[in-house]
Amino acid sequence: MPEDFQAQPLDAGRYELKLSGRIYADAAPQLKDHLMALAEKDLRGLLVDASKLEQIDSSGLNVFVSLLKQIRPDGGKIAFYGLNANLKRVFEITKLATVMSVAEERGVALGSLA
Amino acid sequence: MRVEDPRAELQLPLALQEDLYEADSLPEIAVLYDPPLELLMAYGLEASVGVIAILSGGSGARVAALEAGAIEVLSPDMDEAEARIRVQTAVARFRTRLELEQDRERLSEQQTHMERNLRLAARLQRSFLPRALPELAAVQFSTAFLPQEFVSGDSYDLRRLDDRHVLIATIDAVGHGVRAALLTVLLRAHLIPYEGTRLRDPHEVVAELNQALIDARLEESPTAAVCYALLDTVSGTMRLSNAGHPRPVSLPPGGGRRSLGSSGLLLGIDPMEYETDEVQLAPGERVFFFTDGADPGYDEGFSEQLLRHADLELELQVGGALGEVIELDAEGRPEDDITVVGIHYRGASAPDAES
Repeated sequence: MPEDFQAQPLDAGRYELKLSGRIYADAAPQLKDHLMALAEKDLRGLLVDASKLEQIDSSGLNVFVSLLKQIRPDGGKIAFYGLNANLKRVFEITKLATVMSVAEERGVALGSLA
Repeated sequence: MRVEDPRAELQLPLALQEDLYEADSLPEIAVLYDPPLELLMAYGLEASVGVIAILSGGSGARVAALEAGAIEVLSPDMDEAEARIRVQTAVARFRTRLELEQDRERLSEQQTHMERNLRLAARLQRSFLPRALPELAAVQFSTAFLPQEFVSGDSYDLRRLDDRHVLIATIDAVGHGVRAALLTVLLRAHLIPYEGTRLRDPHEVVAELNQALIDARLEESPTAAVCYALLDTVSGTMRLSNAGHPRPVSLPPGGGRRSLGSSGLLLGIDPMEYETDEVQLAPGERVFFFTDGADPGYDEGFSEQLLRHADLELELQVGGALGEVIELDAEGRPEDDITVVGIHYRGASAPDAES
């Protein structure tokens, strides 16, 4: 579990979050609190660097689903990049790639938040 | 607690006497003057009363009194200031100890109450699960249901619908515990295979589950995954629809493994059309439906282990494969809720009798 979650501001309303290790039910509430607080503030686009993320379970995924539902009415988007093969499989099985962007390169993911 | 004592006229400084009198007036404190050891021991058995003993004897008597349970022992020749502080400290410490014990008892009662409720919830949840596996000549079934807590965020359904069809469904609500368990109850209530007398296509049922979860407008927008299948036990045709759930794995009799069907978006996110896929099972083919708790990280480790245990009886195959991929804690619980439904399609030489 990561020690803490700290999304870094990129520009107006856009943040970048670096994830590492495993995001399971034990870490999900902390991550959710952090992101929801940013959504309350001004978060409208979240870029997720998953290049060091090893695994995520349904609780972890639901953090991003909840966030998406929160920010989507205002045009908010979420984009992931750097997923490993297992994580790509997760996004393929759950079809979350149809509601969030998934890209190999950071630049492409960032572009999808525009 | 006022205790009469014939030695009360021990020569103690007035301020100390007043402190002792005040302490003695508390229901949880008794001040005893040169008490017999038996009396101290009797008080020592009473955990709710602390004894302050004033002893005119030497250090031997002091040690014996402490061993008998006195919370403080004073002597008439003790420095007055020290004696007064000792009385105040002993009273405060004992009262704190009593309060802590009372808090612990209250917590213990609350925990017992909560555990009783959780056990009741677990029993209720299990009452939604099939009470017995269908007994059919054409198909053999085996299930594993391992909650991560008392109650599970998983659920499954397995029932014979008519003389040809069997319903198989596995549900995985996001998270664990009571919240997730209640979500499975909501979803199970919408797992309705018929519309009138018409057997609904699997994708219709899954779409209804999706809409039910969206319409519920639950806090924190929980999601869930489901795989719903209808097996025609006579033809061996299986029709299935999947929302964000690990695809069932099939082990054909000729060897190897294959994942069945496609998958759609997790339930509860957007109104969706789902698909029904159709696959043909061969006699001897085994199919396994499982929630992601059996395959942490979706790395197909469980499927691989199913293949390695393919020469075992169905039940042993499920148990053996699970044993290779999951870890149980000291209480025998897995890291995530786990549900597995395994089927062995024998082929239908004759229609099954009504059970």
